[in-house]
Amino acid sequence: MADGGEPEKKRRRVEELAEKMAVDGGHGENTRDWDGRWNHVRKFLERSGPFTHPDFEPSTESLQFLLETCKILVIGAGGLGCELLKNLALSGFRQIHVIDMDTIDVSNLNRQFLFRPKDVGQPKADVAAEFINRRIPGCNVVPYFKKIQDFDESFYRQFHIIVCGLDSIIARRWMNGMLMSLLIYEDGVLDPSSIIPLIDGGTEGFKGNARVVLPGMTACIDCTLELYPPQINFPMCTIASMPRLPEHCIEYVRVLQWPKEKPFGAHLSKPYSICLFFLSGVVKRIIPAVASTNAVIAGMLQEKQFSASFSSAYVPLNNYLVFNDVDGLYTYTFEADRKENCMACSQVPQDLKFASSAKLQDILRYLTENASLQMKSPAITATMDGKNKTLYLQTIASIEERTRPNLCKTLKELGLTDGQELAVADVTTPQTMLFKLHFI
Amino acid sequence: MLDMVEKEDTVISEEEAAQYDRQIRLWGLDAQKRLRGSRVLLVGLRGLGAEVAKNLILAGVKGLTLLDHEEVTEESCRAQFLIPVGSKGQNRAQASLERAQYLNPMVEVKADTEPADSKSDEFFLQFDAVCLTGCPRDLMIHIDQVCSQKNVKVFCGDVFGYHGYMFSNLGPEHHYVEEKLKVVKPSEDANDGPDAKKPKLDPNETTMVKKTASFCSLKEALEIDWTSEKAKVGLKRTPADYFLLQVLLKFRTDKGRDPQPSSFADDAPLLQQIRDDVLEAQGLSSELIPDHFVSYCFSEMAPVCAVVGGVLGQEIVKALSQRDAPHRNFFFFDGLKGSGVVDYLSAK
Repeated sequence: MADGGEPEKKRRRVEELAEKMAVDGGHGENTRDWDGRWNHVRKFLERSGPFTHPDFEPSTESLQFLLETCKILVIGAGGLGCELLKNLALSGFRQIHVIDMDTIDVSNLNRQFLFRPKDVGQPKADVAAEFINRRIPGCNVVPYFKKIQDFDESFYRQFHIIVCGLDSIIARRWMNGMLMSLLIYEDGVLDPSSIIPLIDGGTEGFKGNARVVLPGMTACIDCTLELYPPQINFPMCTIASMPRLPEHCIEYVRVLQWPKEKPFGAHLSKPYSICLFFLSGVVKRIIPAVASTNAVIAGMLQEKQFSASFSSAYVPLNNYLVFNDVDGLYTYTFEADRKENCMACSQVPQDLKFASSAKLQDILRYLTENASLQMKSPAITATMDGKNKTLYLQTIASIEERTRPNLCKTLKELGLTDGQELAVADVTTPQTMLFKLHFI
Repeated sequence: MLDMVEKEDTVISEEEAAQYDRQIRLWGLDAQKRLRGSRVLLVGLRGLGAEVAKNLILAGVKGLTLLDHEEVTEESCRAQFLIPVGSKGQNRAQASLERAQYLNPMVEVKADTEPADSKSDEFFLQFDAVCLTGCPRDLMIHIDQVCSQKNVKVFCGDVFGYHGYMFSNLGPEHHYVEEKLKVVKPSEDANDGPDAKKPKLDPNETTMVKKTASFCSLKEALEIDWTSEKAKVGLKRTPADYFLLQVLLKFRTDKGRDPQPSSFADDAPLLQQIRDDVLEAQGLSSELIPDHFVSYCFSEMAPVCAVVGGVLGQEIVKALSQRDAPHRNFFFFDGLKGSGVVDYLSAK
């Protein structure tokens, strides 16, 4: 099919094929399951094994549940998301929802294989959903070209399981907080039916991790916040190898093909592209990424999600896996411990201990710099004289300007008292956190 | 075979630079150029084959030939995302071709429908790397022998239910480079304290270090004599998956196919019998592979294909680009435990 001919011809031919496939649909009239279609999954569900939970009853009903009722939410339709959607669809899940606020860029194409050059600029969620729905009969992927913060509890409550392929810690923490807020406690006892498992994965270059969070039961994202390396606040190159030095960039440009007929002026502009490659890596905080790592971690995520879906089937083993393919291959699975006073999941009120002569900006600095809190731009309010008073808020310019003078005032000057409750809102969590102020 | 001289001829276009940006930042432009000049043969287009095909095509090799003589069955469509529904009766490689090519028009993807065992030795030597999936043991050993004599890199891999493996033979002398942190010379000043005398690693400066790794043949890797004293000592450290692989390869040779869910009633006892025979012949206990193994080695689980295909794909990329240390020489993945193990196993 592909000969040594010109790339243009080849590309056109492929585009034609793409059109043909789009019309063809791949559905056919026959979307019924053929005999033995789910044999590979049936294999797993209809037998007992050494890891089977004592209460599990192998049966054909589990398979029906899997296919028809299990609603899965995939967050992110990028490197991990594409791989996840493929794995889930091939494994038999049908009710899959996917959220992604991003559009497709040409640099995504080296690994996000549900997207093609003609899709550049389109929403990732929409294109991914369409691809899967056309290819896998019976699969119903519902896309949302939105931010996770655009949805509330009533949306998230409908899912049996949530799998994350996110690219930011802030988003992970927000999702974590959302699932915590769905938990129902009766007389201090957690109602298990209010638990929605969160399977979270991340990759960077040759490294990645996959973990299972059972909100209220196992370690949550915030419990292990200190495991993340410090997030540097100024743009910094995250490139582990090359190119880092200007010499590397010059070499890079030297091998770029450029037409010989271009006038001298065009050559002069080339040095800018050296800087662009280097600088874009720095400014855009680009993370090197490759298909194979995403394939591995997505596979791991789906393994974990599979067993979490059938928590009655399998006793959940260690919940945190790290994968490192940089030098040799290193995989390690361990059980992450819950943190006793975790801000997100412990339900223990958080204390703030400051002298009454301390300034408000001291509290602000503590909220952002403390390793367990790591807030980004917290807004602090307090109830005083029966009224809700905003002490400081930086995300809205007019309010920031108005409340900025408070930063230099002492807590006493602001009228705060010992035992006062402060409410703190931040992008890292969907709920407002309550802190108790203690004067020392 | 790609060598240093060819490097000057392959120039990266701006289009390629844009598409491959994220991976060039990971393994460098030089590695990408070598990839771009490499031709790979992939045998077997089941679940694992499809994953490896995807990873290599996305990575941007020069050419990938899909070789498979089998026909598409109902089972193929559910295990593998390259074959469209309604392709029943078509050749598997042929049916996978369109979607495979669609992944990256810059790669030359071809389909070959002949059986691997009907190909001449010369056929395999036109490639820089050969990846064998779903092949019988003797065929793999033969192709491995033919290829490694002529410096063609050999990879083997399979997925059996929850278990998967990959094997590589990059030849007796595989050259590659590794990026290492530069060592800063210790300070000369005696007053700096004891630590100053130790060479330190400079976190900002790296240097490329040339290395060589040697690999044994597949035959040597599979034909270890476990009755010898030396082998017995190493037995404790040997992953049980290695022996499971021997059992499954024997099943494949004896039955001409892998264990199938539709024949579970017959295949399961046969597997256990083979397990007994294989282990007994080596003077090993049957307990090395517990009875329940039969429940977990049927069919190809999609996520296991993804994991093994990811590792295998990256090993091929590393070998072709001659950058970063290769896994030596087996990778075993146990999907039940979520564990991956790299181990060097050889008769020598």
